[in-house]
Amino acid sequence: LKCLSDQECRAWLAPLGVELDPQDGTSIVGGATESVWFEISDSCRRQSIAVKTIFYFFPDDCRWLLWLREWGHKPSEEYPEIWNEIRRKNHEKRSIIEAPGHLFEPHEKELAAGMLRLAMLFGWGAFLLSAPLSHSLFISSSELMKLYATSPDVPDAVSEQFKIWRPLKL
Amino acid sequence: MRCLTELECRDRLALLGVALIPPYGLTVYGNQLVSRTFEIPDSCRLQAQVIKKLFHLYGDDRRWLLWLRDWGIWHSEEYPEVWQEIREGHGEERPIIDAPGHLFEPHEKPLAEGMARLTMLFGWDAFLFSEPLSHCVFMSNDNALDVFAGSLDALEELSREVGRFFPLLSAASG
Repeated sequence: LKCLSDQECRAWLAPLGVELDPQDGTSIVGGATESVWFEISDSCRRQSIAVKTIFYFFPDDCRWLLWLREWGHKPSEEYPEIWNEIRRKNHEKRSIIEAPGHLFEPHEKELAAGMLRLAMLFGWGAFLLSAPLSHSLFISSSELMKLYATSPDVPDAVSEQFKIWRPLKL
Repeated sequence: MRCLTELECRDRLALLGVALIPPYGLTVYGNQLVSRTFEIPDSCRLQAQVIKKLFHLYGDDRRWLLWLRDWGIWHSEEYPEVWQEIREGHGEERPIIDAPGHLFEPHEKPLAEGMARLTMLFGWDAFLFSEPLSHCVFMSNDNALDVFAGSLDALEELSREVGRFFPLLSAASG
């Protein structure tokens, strides 16, 4: 696990042909052919299985970037010491705000899944992307998840755990 | 955080006068503690709040022993790599089975809370004790949380707090 600054995260994404949407900062542009919004269930079981499902569909030789965008909004649900312990174990001394990206090597797939699990549990906002580019996602502190995919396999599998959220038309 | 063997956990508890009564009862200097059992709901929010409440009731100036008794039961809900990273970060190279106790110093309260949170999340069995001894809890893989106290009054107070979040399964025993 290696932590990256915002700038390093953007640079890591560039060769993949992906960038953050400058309009809202919660979307990515490029890569996927479709996106689906889900409601993140409060069920521990459903969250856990959804995260394992998302990682099941990644090839094993990927690298992953878990890029935190929001944290500290729900103190009653967060246990940041766990997160910081893992960062410190991997020789990271900077605070999350200075290095919010978490880059995982192919052999660290289990840890990457575990940290996405924690981010979802704590109600944090974060992007998860892989290289080579596969499906990607954004989880938000408002309990929504946007899944970007190039085929319906992953959204179909995730929909067994999380309801699809359709924004109301104004 | 320092990891302890089973024997070290027992020795540490013996100094507090605590002994385990199989399978999951407790005595302090020979007197059985009173306990109540609550159901652990499948809710991230409620679980998080109960763990924070339990640690709030402990106060600050103490040590905690989180003693794992069973793990690896619910693979779909476990992320053991996270646990191992934290152990390794504290220089622990033994597997959990060789050193299932986790002893936290007073300044490590947030870490103790976080690891208790993970224990419940992963559906593991574990005792949580404090030094000096206060209330104790046992969380189990069958979604039950036993809370133990030295007196009925103390148990009432503890149960009132836990009961705001978790449904009661059984009345006081012991």
